[in-house]
Amino acid sequence: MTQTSQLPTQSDRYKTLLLFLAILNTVFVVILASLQSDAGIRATLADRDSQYYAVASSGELHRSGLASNYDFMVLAQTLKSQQENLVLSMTVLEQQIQGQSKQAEFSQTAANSALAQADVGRKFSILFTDPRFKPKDTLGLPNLQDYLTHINAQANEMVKKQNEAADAYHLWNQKSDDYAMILTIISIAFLIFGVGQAVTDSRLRFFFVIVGGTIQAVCFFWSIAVLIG
Amino acid sequence: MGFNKFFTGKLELITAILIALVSFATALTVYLTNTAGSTANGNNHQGMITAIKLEAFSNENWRKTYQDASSAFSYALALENVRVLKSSPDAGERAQAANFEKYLLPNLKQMADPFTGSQKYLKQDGSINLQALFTDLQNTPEIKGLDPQQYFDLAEIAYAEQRWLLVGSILMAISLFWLTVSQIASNRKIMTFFTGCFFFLVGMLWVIIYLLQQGGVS
Repeated sequence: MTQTSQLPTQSDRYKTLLLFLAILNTVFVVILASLQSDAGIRATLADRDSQYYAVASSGELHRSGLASNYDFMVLAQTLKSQQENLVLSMTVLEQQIQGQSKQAEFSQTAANSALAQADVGRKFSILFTDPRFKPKDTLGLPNLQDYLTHINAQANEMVKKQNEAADAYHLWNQKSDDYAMILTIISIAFLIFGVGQAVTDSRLRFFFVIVGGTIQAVCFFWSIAVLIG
Repeated sequence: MGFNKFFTGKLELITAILIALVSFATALTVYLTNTAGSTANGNNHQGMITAIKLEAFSNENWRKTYQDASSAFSYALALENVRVLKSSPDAGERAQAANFEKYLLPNLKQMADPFTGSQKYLKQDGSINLQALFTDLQNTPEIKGLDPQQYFDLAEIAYAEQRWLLVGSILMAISLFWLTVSQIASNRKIMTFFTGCFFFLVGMLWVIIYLLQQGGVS
């Protein structure tokens, strides 16, 4: 009589297993909810960073636009002055050959002025002072390709960071959504285990153990896939 | 044996008291979690506003710098022209130079200020130092007080607190679940009761660690 009272009755079979699975489920839910919260926070931070870099790159583009506008304005003025000096010097020679000495003097003064202005332009422009861009010879043109690469480098770097932050936001946002989906499905397992506890037929209870356990296992492996994905 | 009998008899009462206590603790933890989250979002928001303000100031100061640089360049060109005209053998051109120097150059010089007003913004070769002017324009109390990173750092601290407290909230909620199951179940009462107590104790410990780090509830 003592032995039979220690054995689980037919109606009590699988209740302990259900209880164990339910406890396991609660631990799983705690971990999942923490992961979901963490993913959500990371998505928020990545979204913030993406917006910050968008603002920064916009500012940098504005600055590089102002800088290149100024530099090209000075370059254009310098080249114009150089050309004027060349043309006026030719004019001086022609006038001297034709015996127009007074006119040649005027043209010489104008040529000197153009040359002086070209020298000012070379002093004021990074395109003529920076060793990375300045012309290799006196009459050559600056290295505009390298200049354009340099002037846009910081803006491009900001845009690259902004793209990386936006990608991170999409990744963590998707993970957060996936964890939320898994949490929704795992709550069904809670329901299954609860119903399993309430039924009296042990075979039906076993059925609920299988169904609830399957849902738990699927959600577990899905969570692992989301975690390492 | 006497204790077991006493405990089993009073289990429902003890569970009911615990449910009330856990409910209160859960509500408090959820409040702290939401406060941390709200603080984090507020700091993020403030950080973004500060970043946009800083960028707006920088944009305007760069615009002013390059505007003054263009004026300085125009002044330098006019100055060289006057210098050449002054050394001309022609009296007419020298007269032009005198008038330019008297009437035109002062206005151009004023427009080119501060590049023409201070040696600080000139390089040794006579060219202008744009970075020096921009740095000085940025060096105002209003702009120096704008630091988005400090708000972002505060936001990250608050998010870390929110993460911590959320786990505590979930542990409390799980504890509430198991205590309720213990109250309404017809069997396995003691097992579910102690499961609920376990999660409650872990949750309380979780929140107490947070409070100790904060130095009390703020």
